[in-house]
Amino acid sequence: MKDFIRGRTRRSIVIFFLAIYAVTLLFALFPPLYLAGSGIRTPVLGIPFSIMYWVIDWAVLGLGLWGFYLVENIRGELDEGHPATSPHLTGE
Amino acid sequence: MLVVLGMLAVFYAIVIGILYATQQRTRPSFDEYSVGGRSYGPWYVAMSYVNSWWPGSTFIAFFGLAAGAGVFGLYGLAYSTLGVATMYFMATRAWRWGARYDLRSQGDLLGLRFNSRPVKVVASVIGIVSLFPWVVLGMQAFGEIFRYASGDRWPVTACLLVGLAVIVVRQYWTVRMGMRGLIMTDMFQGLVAYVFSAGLCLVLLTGVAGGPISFAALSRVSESVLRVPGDGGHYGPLYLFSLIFTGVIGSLCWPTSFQRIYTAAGVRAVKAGTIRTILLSGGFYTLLMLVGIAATAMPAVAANPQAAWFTIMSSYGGTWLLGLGITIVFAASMGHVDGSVQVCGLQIANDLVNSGRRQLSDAQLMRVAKSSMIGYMVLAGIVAYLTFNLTRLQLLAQVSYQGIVQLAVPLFLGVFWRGGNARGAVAGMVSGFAVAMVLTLIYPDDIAGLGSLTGGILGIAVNLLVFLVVSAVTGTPGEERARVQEMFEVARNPVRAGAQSAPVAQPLGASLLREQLDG
Repeated sequence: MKDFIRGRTRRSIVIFFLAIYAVTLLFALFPPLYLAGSGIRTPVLGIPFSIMYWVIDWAVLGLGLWGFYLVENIRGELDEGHPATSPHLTGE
Repeated sequence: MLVVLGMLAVFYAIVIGILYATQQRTRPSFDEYSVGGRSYGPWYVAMSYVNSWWPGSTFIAFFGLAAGAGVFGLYGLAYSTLGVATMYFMATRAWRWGARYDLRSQGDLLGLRFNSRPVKVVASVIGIVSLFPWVVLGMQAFGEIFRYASGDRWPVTACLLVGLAVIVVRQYWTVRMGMRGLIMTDMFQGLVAYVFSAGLCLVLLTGVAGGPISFAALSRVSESVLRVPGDGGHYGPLYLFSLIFTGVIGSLCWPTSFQRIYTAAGVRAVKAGTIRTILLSGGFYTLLMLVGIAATAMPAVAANPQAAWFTIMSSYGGTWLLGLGITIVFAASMGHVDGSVQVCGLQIANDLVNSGRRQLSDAQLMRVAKSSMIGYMVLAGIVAYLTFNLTRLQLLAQVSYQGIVQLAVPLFLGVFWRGGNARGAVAGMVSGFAVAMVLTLIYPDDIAGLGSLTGGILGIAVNLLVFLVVSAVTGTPGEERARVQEMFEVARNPVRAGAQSAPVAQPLGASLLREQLDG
């Protein structure tokens, strides 16, 4: 599995996880979707779907981003040390 | 009354004790004072973000929304978690630029990216001005807390004065210690305000405490509680979109939130901190909203949803649980006011007073930051006192939210895109801010004729259009394009301990920039 992850291009991985983020954004922002999820009493894990709609959106986002972190960790893309700062050049 | 006040006193004493025990004995540099020396791990980053994001009013206004309107309250879950997720995608570039160029504030980043002091100043002023109503409301929340704690026996003025005195003493340490003091206490305050409250909500929902609140009760709530605005009622279909979109793009526009990137020890700490923030925020807020929705069946809650948190605590556990509930709100309020005052003091010193023509030493920067924090706090305290009974102040907070999101255009485009220029950024921010302010004053809630869009959304549209048009018309010189290209190249490489920063430390055009701004 680790070899598979390391074998992918950075671009394909970013696109995959950005797509997950985009889907969660879509469910939160696209009126036809959130209005379709409104007012539904059908239980999911004992809780009405209308409530679970938002909880599932959060869970997919959180797990998706966590997955992204794990993948970046396996690929060694998170390593960073303490800064060696340059002079303060910000907009001056 | 004594039990509740005693609980508040114990909590407060622990906070002050932590500050005393963790204070730095040596004189800190301004980098340590402003961003904690960029040395904090993911848990500190996460807890600090959560503290600055969820004020005490979460337990009053947002909880009241769930207890009064039901599933609508969960929009806060969507925008808060989707918003902080942008920190993950921005982390590498923002942190590496911060470390390489010694950036300390959001204004610093924008000033550097667009090679312009006006961009830095405008962005910083929008941030400082937009935070002000929230600090005032935060201080007034302390007055409300003492009103509840005294069982309505103290006069309103006394409650506010005691509340102000409490926060002033706390702020003494924020002024003295800067970011370090904030982060150290955020951990404890956050544990009480969010982790402990989440545990409390979970206990209530399991039903072990008896009473009307439980997971099972959620399946029995009324039909109207399960509907979001736009699905019936007087709001149009775009109202929820407007609220969530504004929240998502606005989350990193708040200086208090953005500052967390620069306190982190590295890109890994920012990203791990973001994951923890999403889990902490989402877990806490979901449980809180579930309790609120389940409580819609309680007549006392339905009668006054804004006081629902205190009503539930009192009815389930009498004075002791009420005391705990008030302490939780107290902890959340304190964390939010602290973060706001600290970052405003920093920005006034670093972004507004310090300049190429008037370069301040570390000691001078700290003096200005400290005195700015005191001035900002005193002004907020006076306004809080004078407007304690004015409901319209809430409108200012709404306006400020629609205003702060105008930073999103240069911030997101500046970090993720190499185009645009300083004139476009300034023109966009100023026009977007003005449109948002005017429209929100006229239509405080929504614009019915536009499907319930809010003024802030229209402001962003104007902002983006102006940014792109002005940038295209005025153009970007080749030298500036090369400087931006160089910045993006810098962000491709990790910043490692002891690494030689040259040549990226002196980005192309930096000297030009100094000459230009120094006249």
